[in-house]
Amino acid sequence: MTSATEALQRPAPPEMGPEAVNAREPDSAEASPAFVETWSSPPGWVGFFTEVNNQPIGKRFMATAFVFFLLGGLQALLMRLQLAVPENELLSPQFYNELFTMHGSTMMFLFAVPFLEGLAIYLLPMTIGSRDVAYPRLSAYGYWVYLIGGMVFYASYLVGAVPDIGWFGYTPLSTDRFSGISTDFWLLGLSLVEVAGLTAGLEIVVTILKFRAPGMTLARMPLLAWTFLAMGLMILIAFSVLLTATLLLEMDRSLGTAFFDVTRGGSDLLWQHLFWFFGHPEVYIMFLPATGIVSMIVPVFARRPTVGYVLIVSAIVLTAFVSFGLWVHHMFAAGLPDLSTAFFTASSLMIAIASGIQVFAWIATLWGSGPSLRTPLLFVLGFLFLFVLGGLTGVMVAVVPFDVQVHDTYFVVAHFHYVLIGGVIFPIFAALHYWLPKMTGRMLSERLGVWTFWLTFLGFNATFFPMHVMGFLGMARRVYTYPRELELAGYNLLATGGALLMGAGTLLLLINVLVSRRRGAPAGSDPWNADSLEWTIPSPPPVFTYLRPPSVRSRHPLWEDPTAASDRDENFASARDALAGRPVGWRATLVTDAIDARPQAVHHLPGPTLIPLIAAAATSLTAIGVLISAYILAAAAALVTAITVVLWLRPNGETLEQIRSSDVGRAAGLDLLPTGTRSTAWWGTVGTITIVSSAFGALFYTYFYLRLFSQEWPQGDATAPPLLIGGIAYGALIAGAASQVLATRLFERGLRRYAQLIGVGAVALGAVFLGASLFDLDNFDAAPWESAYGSAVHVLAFAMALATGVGVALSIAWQARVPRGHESERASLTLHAQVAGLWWRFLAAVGVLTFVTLYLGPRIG
Amino acid sequence: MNEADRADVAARPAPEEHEASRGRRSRESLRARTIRYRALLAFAFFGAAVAWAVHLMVSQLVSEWSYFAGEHRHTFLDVSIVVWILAGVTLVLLGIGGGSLLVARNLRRERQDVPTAPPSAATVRFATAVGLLSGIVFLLVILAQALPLLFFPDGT
Repeated sequence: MTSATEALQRPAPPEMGPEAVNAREPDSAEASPAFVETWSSPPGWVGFFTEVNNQPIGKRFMATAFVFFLLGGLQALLMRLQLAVPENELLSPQFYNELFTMHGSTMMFLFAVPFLEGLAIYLLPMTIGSRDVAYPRLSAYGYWVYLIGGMVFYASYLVGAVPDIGWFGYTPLSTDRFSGISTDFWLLGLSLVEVAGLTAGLEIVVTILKFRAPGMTLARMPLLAWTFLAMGLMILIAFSVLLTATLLLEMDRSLGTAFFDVTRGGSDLLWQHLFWFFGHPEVYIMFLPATGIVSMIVPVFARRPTVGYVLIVSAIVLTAFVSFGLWVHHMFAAGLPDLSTAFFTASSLMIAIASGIQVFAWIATLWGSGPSLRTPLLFVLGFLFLFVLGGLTGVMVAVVPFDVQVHDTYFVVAHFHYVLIGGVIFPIFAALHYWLPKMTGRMLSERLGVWTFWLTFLGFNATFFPMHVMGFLGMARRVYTYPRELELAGYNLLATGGALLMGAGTLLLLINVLVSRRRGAPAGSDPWNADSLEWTIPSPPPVFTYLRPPSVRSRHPLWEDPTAASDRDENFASARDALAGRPVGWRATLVTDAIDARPQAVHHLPGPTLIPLIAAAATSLTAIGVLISAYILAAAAALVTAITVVLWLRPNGETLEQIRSSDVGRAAGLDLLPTGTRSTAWWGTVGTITIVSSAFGALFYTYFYLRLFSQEWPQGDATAPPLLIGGIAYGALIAGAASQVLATRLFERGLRRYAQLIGVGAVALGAVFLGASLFDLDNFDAAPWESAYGSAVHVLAFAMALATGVGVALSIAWQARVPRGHESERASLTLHAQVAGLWWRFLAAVGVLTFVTLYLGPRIG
Repeated sequence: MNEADRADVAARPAPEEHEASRGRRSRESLRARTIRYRALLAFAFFGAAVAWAVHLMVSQLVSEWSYFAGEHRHTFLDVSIVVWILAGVTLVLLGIGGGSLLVARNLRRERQDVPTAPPSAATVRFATAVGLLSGIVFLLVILAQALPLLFFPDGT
């Protein structure tokens, strides 16, 4: 095994190596015991369940996702054994259906995205120079919900009701007419995993925007952070659409609504639209961070900065946007108009430009560099080869006539496995070989790593390349066997052999990881002579990550030459010094501005707590209650969730006092209790509004889609809801929003009493809205189970009432705090008012759209 | 002086231009200028992307709705009215997207006008470069999405 000191044959390119950079920073071992204690969790099980630190939570995400990866891999091997020979009877058709459903769902929902989320939660703070993520409790909550969601999903095996509807759950197969409780396991397990995904997305976005090291401007951000930022934003939009879609389908199944029931005015194709509006970005949600991994590894092994940084960032932005405009290319065979499908052919072809830019940039970086061919780079080279092949077949299936020919054949199976395994799993394996030494402090065996690569690479190509040919020859996917007369036995046998080789490769990786934890060579802080910040800290990293927050002056901080610093470069010493090994007794990190990363505040981070676990258990119990039709249990669990969230958000007086009495803020010259855009709460509210807006977008799309394809609207004997009551309700809502916004402004200017008075108006007007709209709904002449129109109106109105309820609750909580609030709580109260103001602004905007949709829409045309 | 500094100096306006613009600027509140500047920067960064998104949404909705409602049968000069509408939408959105590229180019040239930090001049350079590069491709995608209009004159 190569030792860490022999890892590189040549020195780092610039004059200044990482050792010298490390020498400028205090050694983590110098941390005072009290500071270490501040960041440590209690020992034993208590610590395990109350943990909120990003490092263990990130590792748990990755480890759990890897277990699901192994399960999904086993399912794939079973399928390949069944298909090894024609007319095989090893597995029954039903078992095969369950296998491909669970395999696809596991790999897409339980492995790839959660693994990358875990990587982000673990790695991002180190890479961008922070001590933790923005919302440690939220990431812990997300992990527990993910774990329980995955267990609910797999509990279907215990009760013999395994989902068998495919990972896409097309209606009508997934409606209650054609499938039983197994589909509820799929929908509710999935819903929990989506909630976990949304929490991680929010966490990632706000961490990147607000917790970057001073000096790490947008133009200096590591490409990995750019891709995680894109991933996080895409999750916020795409996952909320899927969550909405799965809830609508579950309502069809449990409550009898009619969104997807054609006989009552619903639409089967609506599900496909909603699902693929999530499903296609999902591919890029996985692929973009994978490219970020590649962009981090390539320059390190090429020993030179990445070629075309700005081009790559442009490609990331392009991909993130355009990926939302491709969903219809999954529906080319669904019977849409030619003109409509042609638009999506065009956009599908054009996304190749963005991928091509990145591929050429990596090749240009490697070109002539004489790269060091270590295992991480081998996987990256494998990725380049496989992803280009998968991309080329992607361009082929973007063309409608070709797609119609190969639709539902093994050609498509080959295509998306080249993209997903080649484009995502190979980079993930590269990441494991590259960053595991940082996580464990031990190098992986290079020899086993090279074997892992070749077994995986050859096995992969042996498995999936023949599938292109099989598809051309007419082998249909999702069918448990094939007739001997198709003469596909040879190809299939080869594919099964390849799958076994891949399995061996994964097993070898597992052995390598386990063995290296004890016997691996010590990694040191920077075994690769890398360029990014995480390599300045010890391996494994201390719980507080950085003893003194770092600052950044270039895109490659460890390769920069400090003697080249110009007068314009700042190192923000006072803020960083103030936090060197401090504060003690409460956790803190620097908050910087979202664009230029100038220090803005010192941010308090929460310590160990059981609240995330309790909230996750209650959330999961709500879903489980619906699953087993125990609606009282579900309602009670939902109530417990709400109470836990209130406890979670309630400012802790003791903590506030501790923060106020600290001299860290004074020493740093920064606020300890920031408000407005300097606070993470403000950004978290904006992120939450993005999620909810996306969910409302899906509901509006549902409403208009159903209307578009309905012969009559309103359907049946229903009439449009009365304009007068609607006008009163929504007029009150908008007036309420104006009141809360005004109250916030007054409070910011110190006019506390006026603010309080006007704020009462917001609560009262919110109550008027709730009363009037619920009265209106109660008297509405189309029940939700009568027609798709009735379903759409009820759900949209109810969603609006729920969102308003949250706004009213926020305002009431603020009103309750203001009279008791000491002047010293002014910052906390201001922030509370600002959050309420943001939410009410959102309510006003979405309220106008809802009013136009529900009340004016049916009366126009 | 590094390359970025040299570029800054090269892009700085002549003294008389600078005086004139300073007088103009003094009449405008700093806050208003900051908001306007950031809005322009956001337009330079996202304008073409939003134009593309609107183009795709409108194209899909209009084509599907007209097909199922039978509206595509109405023609003008033997070409479906739907195709005319979508061609018009394409032109408008190409104009908006092109406008965002122009704004990006102008902001790159006049970057010393940044009223307050953030964003710094370096960030403006970076953001406008990304806006320009991605914007060009977004405009290409809009054009590509308009190509089918030439091949389906009956609007189906």
